[in-house]
Amino acid sequence: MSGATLAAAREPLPLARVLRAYLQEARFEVLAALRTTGLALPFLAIPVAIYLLFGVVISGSAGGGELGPGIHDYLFVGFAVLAVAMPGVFTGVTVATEREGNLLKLKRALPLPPGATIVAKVAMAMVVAGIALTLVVIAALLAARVTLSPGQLLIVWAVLFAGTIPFSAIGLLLGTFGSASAAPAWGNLVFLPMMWLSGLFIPLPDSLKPWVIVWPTFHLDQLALGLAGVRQFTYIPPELAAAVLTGVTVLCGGLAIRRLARRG
Amino acid sequence: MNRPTNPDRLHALDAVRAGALLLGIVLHATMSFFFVVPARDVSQGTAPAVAFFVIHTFRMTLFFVIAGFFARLLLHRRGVRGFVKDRARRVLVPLTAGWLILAPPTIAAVAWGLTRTFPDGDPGGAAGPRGVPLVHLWFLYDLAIFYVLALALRAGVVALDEGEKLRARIDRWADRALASRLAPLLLAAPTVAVLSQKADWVAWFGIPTPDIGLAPQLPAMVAYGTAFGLGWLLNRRVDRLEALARQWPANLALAAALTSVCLAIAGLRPDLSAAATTGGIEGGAPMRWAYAAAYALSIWTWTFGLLGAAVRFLSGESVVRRYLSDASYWLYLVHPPIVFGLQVMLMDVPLHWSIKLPAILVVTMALLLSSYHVLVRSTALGELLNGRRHPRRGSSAEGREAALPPAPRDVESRREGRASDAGAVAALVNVTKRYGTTAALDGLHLEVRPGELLAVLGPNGAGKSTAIGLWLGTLQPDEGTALVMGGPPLEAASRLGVGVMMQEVALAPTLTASEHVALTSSCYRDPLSVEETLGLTGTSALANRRYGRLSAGQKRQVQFATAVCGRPRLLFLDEPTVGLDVPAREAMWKAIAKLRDDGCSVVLTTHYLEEAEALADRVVVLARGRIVAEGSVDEMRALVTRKRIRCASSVDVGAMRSWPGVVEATRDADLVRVTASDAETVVRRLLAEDPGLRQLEVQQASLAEAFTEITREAA
Repeated sequence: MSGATLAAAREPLPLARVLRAYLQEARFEVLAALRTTGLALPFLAIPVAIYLLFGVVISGSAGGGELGPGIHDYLFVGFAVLAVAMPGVFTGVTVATEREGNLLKLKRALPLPPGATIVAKVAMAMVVAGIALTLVVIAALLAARVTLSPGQLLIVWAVLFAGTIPFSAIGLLLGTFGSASAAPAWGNLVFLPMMWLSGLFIPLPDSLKPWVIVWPTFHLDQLALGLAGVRQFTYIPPELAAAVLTGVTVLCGGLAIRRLARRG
Repeated sequence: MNRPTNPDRLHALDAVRAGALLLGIVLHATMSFFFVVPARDVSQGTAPAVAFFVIHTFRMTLFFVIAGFFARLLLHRRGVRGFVKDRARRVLVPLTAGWLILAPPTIAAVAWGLTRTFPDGDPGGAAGPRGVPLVHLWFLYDLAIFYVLALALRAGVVALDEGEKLRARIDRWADRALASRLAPLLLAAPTVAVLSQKADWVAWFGIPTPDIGLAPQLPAMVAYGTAFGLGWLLNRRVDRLEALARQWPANLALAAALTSVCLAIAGLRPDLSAAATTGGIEGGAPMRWAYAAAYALSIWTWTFGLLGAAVRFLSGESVVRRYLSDASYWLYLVHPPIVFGLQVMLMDVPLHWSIKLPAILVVTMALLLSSYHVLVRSTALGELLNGRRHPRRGSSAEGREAALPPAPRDVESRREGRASDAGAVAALVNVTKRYGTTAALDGLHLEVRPGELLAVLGPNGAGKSTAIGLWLGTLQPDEGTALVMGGPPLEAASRLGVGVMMQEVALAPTLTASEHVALTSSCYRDPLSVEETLGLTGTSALANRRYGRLSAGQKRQVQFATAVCGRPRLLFLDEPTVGLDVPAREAMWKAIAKLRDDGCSVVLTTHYLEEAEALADRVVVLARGRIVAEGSVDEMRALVTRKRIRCASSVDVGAMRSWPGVVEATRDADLVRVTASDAETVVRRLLAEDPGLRQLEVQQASLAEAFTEITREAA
């Protein structure tokens, strides 16, 4: 092979082809996830089921006590946060499985554009989260519990949909540790305290209340409520919540990218 | 008396010094949560006070013990002149320059905090500091004094103690004291005497911090001087550390008990109003004595316990600890303005201290560590503080490369990152790759020529997959350079012309074969269509079947299809035919041969010699990370034309070995085994020499045997 052919082979791909590569990677990632029923089904079914059970049936006809009917909006947003946090955090299971199966190593050897694998994983989590979220919104509308206006609902949906990203970053980072069989355990170790201790849908004892600020779920909840203008339940300014979520994304995502570049 | 110092123990002591300095940052961060300096936070707690009390008890003593230890070490390594020069650079310069730069913002932060805490003016009515405020840099000032005293004392001892009798006696006493476990008592005694006699002693704060004024202050001089001296003695006999290491649990338990007693007497938080009159101790002089004794004893039990635990658990090297040790000096020097500033900023924020304190520490450490990494570690500042400059990561790789002997061919082109031989499509240039201490590849030099099929053979662990990994960029060489398509493998552009089939890869099980091909195709410039790829690789029948439901052999076929779909100019196949049945294997061979005929270069690793025989233009045999045989298939075949002869004969084996055509001969009872390069001649002579020869058998040596022989010779 002459030097000229070598140089031609090194010519970078045109932008359209690069975008296409990102797109295909994301498309097949989503396809593979949706076809894995063991993975996709719980993510889609559990949030809406729990919301119907706790947010609708059990909280039932209660007027909301001293908190008033607004409590139903609060519960709805809380369960909706669950719907996006779960697929995000458990992205780690996919990452760990692919790492263990040497698939990430193979992808590093292919001429994939940088970051395509990670973008695809986040896209996959966002699609699954988007569907799960939509199911919770539909359930809330059907049960006629929420007092939010359509505009507010749209804001909540959009904020939470984008809010999948920090949780995917956490998931990616988790996926870089440990084996595929340990990955679900790691996921739960992070996910369960994050859900129950952030005060999204169960009342917390006073001693735990100041600690809600350490959980990203609390900040996403606050961001959605704040931007949708639900004053009654806005405890911290939305800018602060957004800053924390951005920080989590940058920190976890950065670490994950760094670790995957070395061990993927 | 100077015994060689075990570097492992030095690692532990380094860690202790870093720990003492870093705990100082924690100590200062707790202050606003129980005290008025630098500010009084809205959230006050007992736990921060207790944490302060405990850390304050031992951290400076611990530091000065280590300082004494390393001072003597340095003196003996560099001599007096070198010692003075080194200490001037690394202690006096930071003290003076640091003071000029750091004292103003530190004092400003504290003043700001006090005005916010007491908006109506200073509550104590103190007339301001009564001397030069040394701030936290007092420890360097005291250290400098100790160095001077130590040099003077040593000069005196050396002059007077000619036969080293005095020194031997001191060593005997020291050994006896340390072995008897009475050492903490002896070491505490001077401190007890000084503290209990100090009229204005605020007991809760232990040894008064001499941060105001240049005149040496007695309690600190005595307490920390004792520590420095002990460190010096420990360095005279490093094995004394071992004794401490054994006693660490008892010392720490005793320390915790003594500290509890002290807290019970002086209170969990400092009582400033009582301090003005009684020093904070009820019960008069006897109680003051008891407290001073418990306190001084707790200093030494903490110090011994922590020192021992460190020697026990932190000996040996750790990258993280090493980095923190290097960073700790800078971190401690610079932290006060940041910590105090954050405390003042957060003082009115209505959050619990258990959130604010960690937040202050996290932000402080993030700022300090990043400033260390950017401003200090690899700059003149780092050289000043730590005595060496760490090369930046990028430049270290460069430096390593520069240190290597130049590649045998075409240094110029290598420097430019281009393959050396005109048109070589891939090369490993003097590559070494180690896993731990084993070298998987050892100075390997290997090139792939355009359009050739290179078979890389070798037993398990020979380094075949490591070589492929280096070419693909999934591994990085420890030494040498890997080049692919004229550039480093980590550049995506280098890999655009490369197809890959790895060992043991699990593709997504829910995607079909054609989806896998479509997915991989998307990252190449001019891929084959999915149908063409499936047709070429004989996998059309698998097109719509999910990958997870395929047999092991079919999975390999799909992986092969993804490897060739991008019309690669260079194809890496790592044991492609493992698990394939015979027809599938032959089909894959055919496809590989076609690709090669179309001008694609192929690197093939395999265990099957017949595979190499069927396909390869050139064969390389690796063993233990080196090339042990290299040549065309015909040349390799020459190595396997040896034959094995077996017979029952009385011929002398020793003599046989010198016959022409005999490679090796052995005897086992009646049976003679001969490996021959020219079997016919050997058999003729055998029959001539031994008419009674029986059971003659001549065998072609198998491929596997020849291969084993090559690699065994290499080993």
